Amino acid sequence: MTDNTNAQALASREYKFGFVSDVETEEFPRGLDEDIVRRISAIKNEPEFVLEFRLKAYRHWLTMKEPTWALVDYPQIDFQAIQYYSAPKNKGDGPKSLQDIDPELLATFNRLGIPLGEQQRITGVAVDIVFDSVSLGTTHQAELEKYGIIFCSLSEAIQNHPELVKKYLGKVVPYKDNYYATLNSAVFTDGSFCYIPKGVRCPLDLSTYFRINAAGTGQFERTLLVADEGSYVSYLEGCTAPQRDENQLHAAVVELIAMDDAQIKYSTVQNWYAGNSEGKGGIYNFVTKRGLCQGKNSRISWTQVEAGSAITWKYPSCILQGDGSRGEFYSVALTNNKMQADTGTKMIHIGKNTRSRIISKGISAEQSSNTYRGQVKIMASAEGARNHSQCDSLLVGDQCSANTFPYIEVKNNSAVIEHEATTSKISTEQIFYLKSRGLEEEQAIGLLLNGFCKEVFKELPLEFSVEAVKLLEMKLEGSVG
Amino acid sequence: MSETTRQFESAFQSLVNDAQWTPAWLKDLRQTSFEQFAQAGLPSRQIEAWKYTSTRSLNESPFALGHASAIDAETLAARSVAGASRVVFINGIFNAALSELPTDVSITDIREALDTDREMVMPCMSAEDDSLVSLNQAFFSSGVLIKVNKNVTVAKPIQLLFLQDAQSETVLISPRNIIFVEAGAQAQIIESHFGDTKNFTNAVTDVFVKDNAVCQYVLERVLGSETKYVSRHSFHLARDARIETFNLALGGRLNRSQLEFRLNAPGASAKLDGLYIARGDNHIDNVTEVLHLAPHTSSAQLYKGILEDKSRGVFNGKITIVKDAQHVDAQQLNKNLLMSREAEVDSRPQLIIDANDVKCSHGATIGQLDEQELFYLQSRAISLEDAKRMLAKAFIGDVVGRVSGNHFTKHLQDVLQSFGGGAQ
Repeated sequence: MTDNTNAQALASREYKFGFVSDVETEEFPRGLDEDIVRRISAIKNEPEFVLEFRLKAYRHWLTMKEPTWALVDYPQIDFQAIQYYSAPKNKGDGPKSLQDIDPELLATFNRLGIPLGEQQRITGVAVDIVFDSVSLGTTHQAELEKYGIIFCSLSEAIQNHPELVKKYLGKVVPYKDNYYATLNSAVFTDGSFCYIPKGVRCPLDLSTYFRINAAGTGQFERTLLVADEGSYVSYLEGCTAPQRDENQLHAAVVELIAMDDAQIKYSTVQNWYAGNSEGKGGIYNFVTKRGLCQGKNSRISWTQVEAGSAITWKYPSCILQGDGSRGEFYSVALTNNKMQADTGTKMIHIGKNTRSRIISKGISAEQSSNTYRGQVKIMASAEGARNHSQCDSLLVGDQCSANTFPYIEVKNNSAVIEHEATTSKISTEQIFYLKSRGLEEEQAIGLLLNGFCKEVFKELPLEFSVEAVKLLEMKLEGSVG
Repeated sequence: MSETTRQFESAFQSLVNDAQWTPAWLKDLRQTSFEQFAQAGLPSRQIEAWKYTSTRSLNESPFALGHASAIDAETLAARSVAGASRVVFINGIFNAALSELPTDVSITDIREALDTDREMVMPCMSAEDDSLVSLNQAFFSSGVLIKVNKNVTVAKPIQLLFLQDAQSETVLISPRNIIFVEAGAQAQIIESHFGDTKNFTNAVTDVFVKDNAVCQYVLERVLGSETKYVSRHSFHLARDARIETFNLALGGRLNRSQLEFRLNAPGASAKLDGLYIARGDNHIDNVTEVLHLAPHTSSAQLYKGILEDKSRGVFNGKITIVKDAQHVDAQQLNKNLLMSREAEVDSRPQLIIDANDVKCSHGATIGQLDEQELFYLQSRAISLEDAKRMLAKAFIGDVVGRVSGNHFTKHLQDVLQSFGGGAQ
């Protein structure tokens, strides 16, 4: 049934964000040593505690080994060949406002569909832009300040709110956590910081947009989001990178903390460059994302649409510490060409009556490999814990693979755990039926995919949901039949 | 010699130096295998398949070889499956007097078979990356080669009955069985291990089911709170072959089975049923690995467990479908009932799928008895204890009901009854 010409059309389809912006940058030489770590800290004029955090992490990193357990295959990364700092060169003393930003950069973000200028802002979304190693600017800050919300780049937060950063940095993902998180702790350059004060419902969706531009660099951003008692925030994250033959490393850390009755909704549409059809180039996306439901009845939900990256290695997790807290994970992971994804979640139930829900939809096409790996752990203290997991895989083409590795560990008998998984291909009968009702094959597939992923898409904020559907349809164009 | 393998050293020396157990030509195989084992050591929890199971209980005392011993008629009768032929081993040593060998099947002692049926047996004796298989290969002194000839339907089930008798030392029992069910043949095999000692059984079995043959295989372990048992079974299925397994694990300090199914040719199918009940500080680990190596193969598994007291149950089920093995149907379900606050269960159902036109699903549930159901039964004047027992019995009812063969059904009821606890 597969139409070869269609498949070829797919293979040659352009990655529409693959352009490179010609921006003058300030860069550090390639390689990593203690000196580089100190220089990153110095250039950002960081207080002592941040440098100390970096150095502790760096020294610990030297003693660690690269993890190999994930079901992904890639040549060894040469950490000395990576540039750990690259920033657009400031004109004068740096942008005081968005108007001062290099017009080339503004043009870049316009091409990406992210209007940065305040005058053309998207209503209802405040955006922080991270370009290579630094944050370029944050929109809507003044409006958010009225509510006492702090939303800025992590570097600014370190300067302006060191007490908050000191309190929460590394609290959820400690510097010893894992190989890539430790590396990030040593060399993180920027990222977003967000603090929602008590009882505030954030009126805007907050958003960070990540762009890797310079060649030979790695991006190591770190996001820290704290929702104080009774607050609510919805946070969106998007990412793209230029089309290059070399692999670039993206090792980010995201930490979320939710206090009593707070709710954080974190959505990601990840569309890093995934390499060409031979699997050349693309981003290695090795990310540590973890949320701590510290307070009673707090709630964290992760929604992700993973459609890019040569390799994805990512397990957004929830530590359900507060009694009655809830963790949710909704994921659609699409792999095509030679992409490899090993993704899933961890739900650690510690508090009483904690609940978690996992919905994971994997779609693998062509020669890609798509793995769900998830852990549900019910500690002895988690009286009345409840989990429901559902992991469905859809196989498109006979060269791809879909794997499911759930780990379920239960130490409390009052827990109720359900896990189910299915693997199948798009049914030819369903396609036939839709075609008999006058739909084109492509439309029929689009409809079926939409249905397959519906439970996840409905969790996404509206504008992301539309983008996600389009992204999937575009990626799978021509590969089903 | 690593620290963890030292306790096997002296038993090994007495085994290789005893010509009765180690004829000259066997010496090399034993020696190499033991070296391989010593090099690798006992599996550590760093190994993914052993993530939830520790072999620490095997380090407590040095192991000795078993001695021939007797068993009273009553015990023998209680443990035998009525109406079945039987091959009895006590402390790992074949006991001819208590055995009742079938007439329609050829059964040979495994060491003898190494001599007489070399070309059949030797391919199974290969160096593997599983250190416990190496350990078995170094030590095996009992077990059988069973040959069911072409198109023969074996009249009676064959029970391989491994009994234990407490000795002053801790005994290492290493059974090695190889079973051929030739084309078109049918056989029912029941491998039973009973023991309430501190002994350690390390069993390895290969079963070859040829074209159109059908084999029912029951693996039954009823162990005391100090008894240790690990095993690896490999089932090799040819075209249109069928295997039906029932895996019963009751008790045991360490009670781990690893069942590997290789569906090598189209039409092969496997049914995997399992039941495990643990209490006290029992530890039961079930590993199943189904390899769909050819198109049009199917497998269905249902494993149920009841965990009481401080016991721990593990289910590690893996289904692999290789590239081009299209039109495969593979189902897997694991359900667990936690009867106590301190019981623990770890379930890991895994799917590895490299073909697209397949139907595959797995599920796992972990829960407790329903409070409303308990309340209802109590409101009908049934005591809490009885109500729990009734509901637990109902929980395992479907998997028990899937056991076919009248001979074994009766035996299973008796065994569950005498094991007691939640499943009476």
